[in-house]
Amino acid sequence: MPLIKAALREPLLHFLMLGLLLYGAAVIHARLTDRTRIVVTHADVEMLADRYGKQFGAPPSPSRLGALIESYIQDEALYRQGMALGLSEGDEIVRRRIIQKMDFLGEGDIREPTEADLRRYFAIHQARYGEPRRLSFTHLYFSPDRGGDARARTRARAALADAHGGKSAVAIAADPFPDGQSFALLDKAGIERFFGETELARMVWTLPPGTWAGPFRSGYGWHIAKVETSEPARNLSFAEAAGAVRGDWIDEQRERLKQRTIATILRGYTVDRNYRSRS
Amino acid sequence: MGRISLSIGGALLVTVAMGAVADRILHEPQARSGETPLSLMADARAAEIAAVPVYPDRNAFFGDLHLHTSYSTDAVLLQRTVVTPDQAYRYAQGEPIVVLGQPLKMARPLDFMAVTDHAELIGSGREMMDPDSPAGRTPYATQMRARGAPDADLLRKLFTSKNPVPGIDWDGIGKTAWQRYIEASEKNYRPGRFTTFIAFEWSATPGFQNLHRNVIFRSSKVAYPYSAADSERPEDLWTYMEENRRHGIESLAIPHNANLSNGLMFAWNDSDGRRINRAYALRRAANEPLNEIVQTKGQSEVHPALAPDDEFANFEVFEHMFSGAVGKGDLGGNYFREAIARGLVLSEEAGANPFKMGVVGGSDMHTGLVNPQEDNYRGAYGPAENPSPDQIKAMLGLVKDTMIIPNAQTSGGDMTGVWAVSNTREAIFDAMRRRETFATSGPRMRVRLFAGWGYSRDMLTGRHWGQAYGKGTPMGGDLSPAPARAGSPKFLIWAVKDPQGANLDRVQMIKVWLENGRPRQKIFDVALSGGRHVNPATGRAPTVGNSSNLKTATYTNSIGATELSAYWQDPGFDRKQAAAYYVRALEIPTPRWTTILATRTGVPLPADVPATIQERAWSSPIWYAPSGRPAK
Repeated sequence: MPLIKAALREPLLHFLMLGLLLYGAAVIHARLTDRTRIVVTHADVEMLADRYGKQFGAPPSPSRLGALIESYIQDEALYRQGMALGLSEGDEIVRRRIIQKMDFLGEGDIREPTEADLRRYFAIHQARYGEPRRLSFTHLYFSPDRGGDARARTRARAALADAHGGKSAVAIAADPFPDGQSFALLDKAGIERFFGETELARMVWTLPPGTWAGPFRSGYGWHIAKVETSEPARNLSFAEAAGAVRGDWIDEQRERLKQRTIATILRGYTVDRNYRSRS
Repeated sequence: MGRISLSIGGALLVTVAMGAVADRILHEPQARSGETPLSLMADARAAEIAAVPVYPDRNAFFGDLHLHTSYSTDAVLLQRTVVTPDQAYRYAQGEPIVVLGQPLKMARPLDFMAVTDHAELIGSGREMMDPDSPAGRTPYATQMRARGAPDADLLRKLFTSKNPVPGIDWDGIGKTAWQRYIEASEKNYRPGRFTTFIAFEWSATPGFQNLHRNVIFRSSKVAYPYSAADSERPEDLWTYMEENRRHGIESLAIPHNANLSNGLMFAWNDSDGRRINRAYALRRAANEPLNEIVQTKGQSEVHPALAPDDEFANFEVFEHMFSGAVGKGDLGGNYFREAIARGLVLSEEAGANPFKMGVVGGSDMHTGLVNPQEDNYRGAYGPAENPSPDQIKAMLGLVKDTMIIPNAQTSGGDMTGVWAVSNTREAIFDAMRRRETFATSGPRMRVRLFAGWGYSRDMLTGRHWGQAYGKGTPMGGDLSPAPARAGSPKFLIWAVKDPQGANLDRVQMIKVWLENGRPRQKIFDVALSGGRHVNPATGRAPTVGNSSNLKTATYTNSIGATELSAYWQDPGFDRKQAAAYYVRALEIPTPRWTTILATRTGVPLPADVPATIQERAWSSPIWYAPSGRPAK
């Protein structure tokens, strides 16, 4: 093959081959050092799964792991961007802190809201600033400790008949309850704290005020109950909610800014999901 | 100072003293106050203050004074804990949190909590695990991460050295962590709803012998934590606390896991081997009014070998020290009941009682997630969504697990109950200071105990607790000197079940006293469910039975009682004998956490732990000293 032999001696070819080689090296170099390329390796994913497994005692589900990977990519982008912006200067180079800084980037740009801002926000999100429904009620308690559960229920039924017949509650023989007979302005959590998550705690919400009803089981025994007043869930006035509204307004502005910032930053990166080729 | 009269839960609601909340207002984190028009803020703040309910007859608040997060070095290096103090507080008050992408919410929130991370190199585990932090970039941390675990040498140094590895700014890391730690506690304090304490754990463990104390600050006036690297002597910790007190920084220390102290926790001698004297006794009592007698690593009330007549002593006994070995030291020095007896002896001998302690229960979880419930406890393992059968077997000790201590033998849950006038730092701390506390092995059962000379039976039947406070002392206090010609003191004893838990089997009075200078103990069944009686011949009552079904890991409340009470007088009372009395209330048997976990997942029950247990509550004692003697 004299032609090939001649070609191999051709300086132009040498030059071209050298160029190709250099180009290849440059590509590899760029891939290895490209600041805008985030490579997620199998080892990275294993690290994420291991950290989760050590914390919770079992490996993450596939969807959970997927979320961890996305979060990792986001953190990595924020970290690199933070480094590029020189956030490490004059500070400890701590990846986490840079991420945090990036997370709160622009925090200082969020201005103090005016009252008009807050009123506008409040008008849109009024449903968030509610007082839960509250009940004030009286109950009579019949303990299974006196003759058993069935007997307590029977006594509660008899007491209910007496109450419906016009007998006053104080004249009806009942058992002392650990936390008394009258409860004022309790919300759901408050009622459950006193009676457990039980039939009584569920049913008392359904009772029309002013009428004795029952028997209902609580974590302690049987009860008849009469709702005195029911305060409906209500929206707070602007004045009552102002402190919380300000905090939420700022949180929302911060979150919006953060999402915008992250989206912008991520557009500047390519993500190489190396781990997929091996799994 | 205005008053609102509103009956809430049987308690009178009045506005709290403004002084108590003024401190709170001043220290309100800036995030939510700041520049909002003051008039608006004032309205909201006034509403918050007015909403702090006050209970003149005191209410039982439930909480945990012992929890570790990722600021504890061992939690990070051994368990990879990532939960922060802020997340821990939010979780404990029922807020949803997300940990490594997993949403978590506590089913039954707590009323109060103290995150108690190890003072030793606080916050440094997080830094060493972070490959991009200065600490994490050191060859030392890099090698540690590569190994996947710290070596024993490092672990030992982490609890004894302030500078275990050169080239890392341990002090700076600690200072920063402590500041964030304070912020987390301040941010989550909601007077009337959820109380946080700023606290830390002093983790002295000389020769694997546990001398740990949790130090709880009363307010936001705090000092930088004192660590075992500063000193491993409790006396030096008290000096730190006393010095703080002189500067208006109030705190108390709560020792725990006496059961793992190899006899050191309640030794007769001080750290220099000298018999305890009056000065030591006074200092210890002033700084350590409470003892944590039950937690993940077992109970420290009593060991079966110390109380052969106590048929319920064999409960959650845990004897593996941090070395993995069982201590061979003085067994009595490991247990609360023996300490109460020694306290009486030393009180007569030295003129002051070093072991005058109320009781609390703690979780000591290292996951950052408090977990007092038997049905979702996993030992040192975290709350995995779907652990595999193999992982469950490891948790249950059916296959070899990687823990130094046997996971299956750890105790599920454990709580502190506090009788306080309101749910604020001041009110709860002051109740702890006067020892008006009780411990439970998890359930939210309540116990009351009063003693006085002028009590009558109707005070108990009518639940006139206000009169009981007025005419005598609650748990944790001293019985006043016996009036002339007084007979035996009267005790009001009351216990009620957890509204979401099991019925009660019985209530017992445990008496510890001195007879001719020698300690004695006796247990009285003062209230029994189901109409049972103590057999005079044996001194014992029939057992309550067991309604548990081991195939389904369930029980029914077909046995036991909702509420038990007793108006009791000590038949053996002798006014010349020093004595202490505390109450133990037992639930009916219910499936242990190991049984619940094994049954739900279809693996065999572990053989080295009982299938069912009788959960319980312990009151703090009431002390009696013969007339004229100091009852310090």
